[in-house]
Amino acid sequence: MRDRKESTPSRMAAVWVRCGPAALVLCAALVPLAAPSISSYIFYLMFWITMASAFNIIFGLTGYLPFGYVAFYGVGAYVTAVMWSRLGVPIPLSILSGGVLGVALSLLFAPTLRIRGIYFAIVNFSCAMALRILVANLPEAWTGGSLGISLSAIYNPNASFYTMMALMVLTIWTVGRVSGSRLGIALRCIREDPEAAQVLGVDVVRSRLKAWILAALFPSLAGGVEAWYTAIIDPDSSFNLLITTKTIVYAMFGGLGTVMGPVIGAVSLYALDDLIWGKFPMLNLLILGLLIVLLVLFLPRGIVGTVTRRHASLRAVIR
Amino acid sequence: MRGNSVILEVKDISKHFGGLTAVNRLSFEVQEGTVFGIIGPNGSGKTTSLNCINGLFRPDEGRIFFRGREIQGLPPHQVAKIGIGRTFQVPKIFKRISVMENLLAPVLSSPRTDQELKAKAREHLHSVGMLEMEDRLGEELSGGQQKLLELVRILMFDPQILLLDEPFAGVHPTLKTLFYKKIHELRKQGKTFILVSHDLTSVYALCQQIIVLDQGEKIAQGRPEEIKRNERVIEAYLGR
Ligand SMILES: Nc1ncnc2c1ncn2[C@@H]1O[C@H](COP(=O)(O)OP(=O)(O)OP(=O)(O)O)[C@@H](O)[C@H]1O
Ligand SMILES: [Mg+2]
Repeated sequence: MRDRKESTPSRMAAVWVRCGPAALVLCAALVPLAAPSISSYIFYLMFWITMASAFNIIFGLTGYLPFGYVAFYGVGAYVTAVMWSRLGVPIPLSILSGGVLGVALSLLFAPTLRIRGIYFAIVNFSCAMALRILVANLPEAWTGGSLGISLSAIYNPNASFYTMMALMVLTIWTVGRVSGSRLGIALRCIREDPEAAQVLGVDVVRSRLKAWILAALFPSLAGGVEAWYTAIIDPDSSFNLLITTKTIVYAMFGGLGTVMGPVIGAVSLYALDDLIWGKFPMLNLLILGLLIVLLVLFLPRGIVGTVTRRHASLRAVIR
Repeated sequence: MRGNSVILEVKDISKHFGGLTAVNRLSFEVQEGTVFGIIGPNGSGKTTSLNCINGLFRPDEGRIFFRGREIQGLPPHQVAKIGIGRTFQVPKIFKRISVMENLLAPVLSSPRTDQELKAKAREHLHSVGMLEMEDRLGEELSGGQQKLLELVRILMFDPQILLLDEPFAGVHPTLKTLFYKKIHELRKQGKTFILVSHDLTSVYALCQQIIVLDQGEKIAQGRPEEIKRNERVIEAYLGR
């Protein structure tokens, strides 16, 4: 009985979940050709989807809140710019090196995963800030000091647009794979109760390290691609804390721990954010802060989490 | 053969928390295929002893042998891998994942396919009358159902010895009967149990050997009928 009542919405949801994203990606792919005026908007939308989805691997699945998440993005951007401008490495390889260094950085930070809860968030935040100071103080010949590095010679909005698109698709695909895999179950167990997970034979240290590396890889790559797109980087914007904040809010709003949540969160909130930013630049931060408070109070599971909590039959479809 | 070999040996273990001695030079041996009871007043060190055995705590002194192999200080996930399962006084169910995922947690590194593992999980769910709950979230289960889930969850990895911490607390008599049945069944398959419980009737009914702890020390050991008559035990339980 229960089944019959719930089968229609869940079947509809299944169709949506399968075809919706593919259709959207296709539309987005046409933007640089058909509607270049909104191409920057779509680029950043894809950027935020990538950031929020990757962030979901560490915060949504394992419950670790890296408040210095921007560090990976910043390192990706800087390594890409330095490799290309100082060493003459082709841009795709430069971006990949950014990813490699981001992963190396995550290994360097890995011991901090022993710390849990708010302490991890604070330590991670401090690491990111230390890194920013370090980068700002590296020899100017390398990093360009506070002025940063210009990449205008390889400015290519279309190529970088499609690279970002590929990266976004890869990120969402990876999250989907991880979430449905045994690693995904292990990570969720660790999030719920690390002690119980251990007692059941889950290798907590190894599983969360895998999540941490994946969560570091994508923002590092995204940093490189964005550097290519804007063709300029500087320490202030590459290590801007607002990037962490927005990533968190987007992921939370859509629903942590679900694959579609951060995507939905980024799509809906980025539009709002863009609007507020354009109309009330001064109030933007205030509104963002308020939004975080409201989210934690009223929508702790995000949109997707709340919907699947009410409609158990959708759990199998929307993940 | 069964019942003659020692599966677990605890030798002179102590555990201190600051100035407090939670477990004091505790020793005992558990025979394979038996139910071994640990009783004692609140705070007497029962849970702490289990925590030392399964690696959540490293004992400050002493050694623990599982089938002759020294295991004290091994991390809990390795203790689980060698065949020691554990349930908790307050059930540790993963709340925001499904019952099925809860059951898969102990077998994530198993070479068997997901299909096989799920079939096994359903068998276990069926055996405790919870078959139709596999898609529920852990938090949607009642307290008693959580206890049952925790029990069948450790059965998923087929441990040799099961450490049960207060399995009967807050459990309805019907469920308790189900627990008894399960324990008997598993014993017949050769499993060994360490049962920590305040439910003396159950302990006397199920265990072959019982130790009594008081303030971290073993004050008595014996078969149920011996423990029932023991003066120190009566004293410890009824107060001085
Ligand atoms: N993690 C801990 N930190 C500090 N003290 C602890 C810790 N765990 C247990 N203790 C102390 O050790 C002593 C033994 O506790 P334990 O939990 O082993 O008792 P128990 O016999 O299981 O009691 P109960 O029947 O109430 O479950 C208690 O005095 C308790 O306060
Ligand atoms: Mg206890």
